Amino acid sequence: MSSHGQLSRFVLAPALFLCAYPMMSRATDCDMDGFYKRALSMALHGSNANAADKQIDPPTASGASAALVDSPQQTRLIAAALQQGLVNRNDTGAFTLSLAPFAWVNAAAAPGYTDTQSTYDRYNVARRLTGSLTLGGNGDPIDADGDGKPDDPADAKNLTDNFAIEMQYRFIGSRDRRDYAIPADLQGAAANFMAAMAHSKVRERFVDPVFDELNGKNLDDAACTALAKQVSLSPDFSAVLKADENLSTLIAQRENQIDTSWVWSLAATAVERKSYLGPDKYSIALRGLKGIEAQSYHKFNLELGRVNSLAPGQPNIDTAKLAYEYSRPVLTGIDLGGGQPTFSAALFAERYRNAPSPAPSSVATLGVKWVFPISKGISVPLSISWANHTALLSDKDEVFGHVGINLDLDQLSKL
Amino acid sequence: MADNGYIKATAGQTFRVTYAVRRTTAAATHIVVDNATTSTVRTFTDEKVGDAEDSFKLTAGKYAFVWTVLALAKTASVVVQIEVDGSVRYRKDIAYSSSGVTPWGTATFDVREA
Repeated sequence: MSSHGQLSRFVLAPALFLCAYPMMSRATDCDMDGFYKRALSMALHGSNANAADKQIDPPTASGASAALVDSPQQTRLIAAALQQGLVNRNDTGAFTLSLAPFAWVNAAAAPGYTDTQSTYDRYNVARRLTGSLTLGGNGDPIDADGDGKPDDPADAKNLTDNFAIEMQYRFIGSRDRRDYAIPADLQGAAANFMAAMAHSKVRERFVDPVFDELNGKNLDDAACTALAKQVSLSPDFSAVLKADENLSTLIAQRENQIDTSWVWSLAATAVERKSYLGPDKYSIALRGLKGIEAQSYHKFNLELGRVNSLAPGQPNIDTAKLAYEYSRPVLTGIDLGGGQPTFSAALFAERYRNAPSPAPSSVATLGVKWVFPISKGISVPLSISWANHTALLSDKDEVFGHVGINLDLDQLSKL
Repeated sequence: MADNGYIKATAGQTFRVTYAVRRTTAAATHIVVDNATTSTVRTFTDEKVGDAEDSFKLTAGKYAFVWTVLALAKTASVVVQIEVDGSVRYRKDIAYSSSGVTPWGTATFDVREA
């Protein structure tokens, strides 16, 4: 069996298992709960954790990524990212496998093991450590035939020809809502809501007499709507509505606080590969993330690295990279099945020391990326980038693109 | 099982409520109020709810039962169950990720003299 086949089984088997994780659902009946919820015209907020700023692309250093800037917030479960070159189709693609300890705890433990909060809390440190192993994918545009011009990046002939490993530790912040306790003001608002419900006179005047007659049965739809309308217009219900609104507002504010907080991570990356794909590379990076509003964010990378020379006698090249990305949802009202598409614009500048002539001493890259979520946890990234030089090879500018499929098993496991 | 939220019971019966909350930090509270006579209020709050239960003997009167789970993570799942003398009279089994709203519910207990 080829290594490609082995990896497919290794990655896809747990994916299929997680996809099959049971999803509970329940139709809304017009029992007492259903009736009150119909009467409350406003629904309480409960949006998803903001997943758009979490990185499910392979690391940028892998050469297999549509991303230009790395995120300090990465997917925790086993992630499989299969991405292929837009122009040069790669038969093997690239596989990214999570090295996050918490991913393996989840994979090894019985289903539901970390569902309870006390168990989840025991892995606070483990959840801060994430990492990935990327095999295969594209190399760098090197001058393999010695004609002084850069060749198109080669595709890895075997997955093991291109090997990128990255480990990252998140030392400040989190977007995981399970990392945050419920604040006192929210608990107070919930208590007020429940007290308002318990003491509401509409219960005595309108609701109890109706449900007493039902002898355990639910209201039919028309009667439910009529009673809900009657109650919603009652002045006695105003305290419940007000408490409900206050609770909804505070929950939304708390969610927004979490989604717009800073997240910072330190990362170390190593890329080792066969020489036809390019030189080995090593780097350390500081990565920051700042949410602006739900689904919009700024991302920052500061990276110092070393590129090993491919030529005998040539010194290694030292690199310094500064990168920035802005992302936001676009195409309001468009949902292909997994949510609203997002648009990102990124700029990164890289300086080199000891770069051999005629290589430039710096490269600037401008990129744009669209991500189309086609279903929950599955998205199609499409990126186009422009660089003022082909890195380390010539003073020519270059346009390149990526398209692929990303699987976010954090999301798939929640289905 | 009478589970439409209006439950008739008899004084002296045992009221037992159980919670199972999963996949969230949560503050779950239940309040049981005896409006008619003693105005007894029982509360339960825990920021890290897993499983919890409470039980007491019912006295005559009308009780309002309200529960909610403050789940910031949309992946919470909640099971709330009320038993009277071991018989399940109210049960809510909610996958928060599919409901899209903060889970809450209510029931009324009309407890008559034995």
